[in-house]
Amino acid sequence: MDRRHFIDISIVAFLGLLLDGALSFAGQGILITPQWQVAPSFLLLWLTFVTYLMPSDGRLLWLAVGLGIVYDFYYSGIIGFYAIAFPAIVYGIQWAREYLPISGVYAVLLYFISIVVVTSGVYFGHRFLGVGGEGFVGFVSQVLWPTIVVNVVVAGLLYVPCNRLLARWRVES
Amino acid sequence: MRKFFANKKLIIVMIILIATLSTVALSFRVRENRSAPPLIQRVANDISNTAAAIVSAPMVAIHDGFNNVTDLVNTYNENQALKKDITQWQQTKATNSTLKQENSQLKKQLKLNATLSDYKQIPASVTSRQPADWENIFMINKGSLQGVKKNMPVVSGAGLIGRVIEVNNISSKVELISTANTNADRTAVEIVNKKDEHINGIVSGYDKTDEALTMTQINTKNAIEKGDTVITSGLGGLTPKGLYVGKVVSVKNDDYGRPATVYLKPATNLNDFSVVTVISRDVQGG
Repeated sequence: MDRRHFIDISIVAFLGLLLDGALSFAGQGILITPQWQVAPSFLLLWLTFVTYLMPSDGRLLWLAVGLGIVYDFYYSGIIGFYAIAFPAIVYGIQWAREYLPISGVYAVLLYFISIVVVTSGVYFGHRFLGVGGEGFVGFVSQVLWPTIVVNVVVAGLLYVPCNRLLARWRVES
Repeated sequence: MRKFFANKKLIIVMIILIATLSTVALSFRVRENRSAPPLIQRVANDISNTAAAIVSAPMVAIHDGFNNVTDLVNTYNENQALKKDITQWQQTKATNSTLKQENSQLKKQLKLNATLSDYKQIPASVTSRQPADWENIFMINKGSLQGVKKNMPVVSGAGLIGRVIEVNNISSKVELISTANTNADRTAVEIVNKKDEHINGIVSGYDKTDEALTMTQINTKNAIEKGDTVITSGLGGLTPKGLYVGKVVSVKNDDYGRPATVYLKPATNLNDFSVVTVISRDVQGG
């Protein structure tokens, strides 16, 4: 991956980070209600697709660390949860892509696993600190499940345009 | 043991885990105890918040557009209700003005510069909200340069919705009053019942089933009824006295028939706000 496209990927990732919060705010009342919570995960979606569809690049791991730190800084002030979750996901996908053919189904499946791992990991981290009082059953039914459904549908819709864009960048690199 | 330490990857994973746990613990303490985060965090947050304001602007415009349409549909019914209230409101306004004047004169006589109910307002716009809403945090576009300080209360629409938990230079984080964070500072409130008696307590959480705030630590024999008004008591922290919090919807008594938990309907929808006001109390103190 050349430098220009790595910068492009980083900019889109940062936009994804901001979009997650902006959508949560603009969509409050629909995405966040007393009955359910949907956490938009555009940044995670982009990291999953880039890691899976672009050639293996060690810089992606550092990009994920940086974005995780900014995510922690901006959204909670507790530094560590996303700073470790994002690079762990990138590392896992870099390992898994060696065994998987390139296909939309696998891309969405990897994203599904990423959401489960990140959302659950961050939930247990917060529970450990006494931040967030949702019980485990409530978390699965009111947070994890709606988050998975909405984000997987979004991933299905965005796979084709993302794949086309990344294929072009792959060729240009 | 030698074999264990020969596994380089395992050692790296362990070091990363220990480092992460340390960072989490340290940053959590910093967030809870320090008045402002470290410089690098403040700068990163301010840059992110400025960019977030640009990204969220079109989405907020769409959201507000939908709200406007809904408001338009409800206009007729609201107009009828408001017409009924307006005569009473004019009277209240006149009384309020007289009382304010009288109060100001009495304060002068007593040489009181500020009391628990005096405060300044800092208007702010919401720019973003925590995606995984564990801590019920949202971000606003005002910070220390505009006079915002940690623990200041934040109101939206009719009443109190939260308090500032982190202050950057031109942005801040606000924690909603409904937070389930067990480490969060709680808001001291009082119920004003029909006999004009004041009953103290604290807002301790949010009941998702009833969609109501819960008020506990109540020690009273006085009657609390549905519809009683709840306001801030001004005790502790930086919250002034008299900010509207909500109305009593139900009361749960203990085994001795005394009120143990009071459920409050918040004055503002805690999942639908875009403009807020940070309240700066004139009288400072712990």
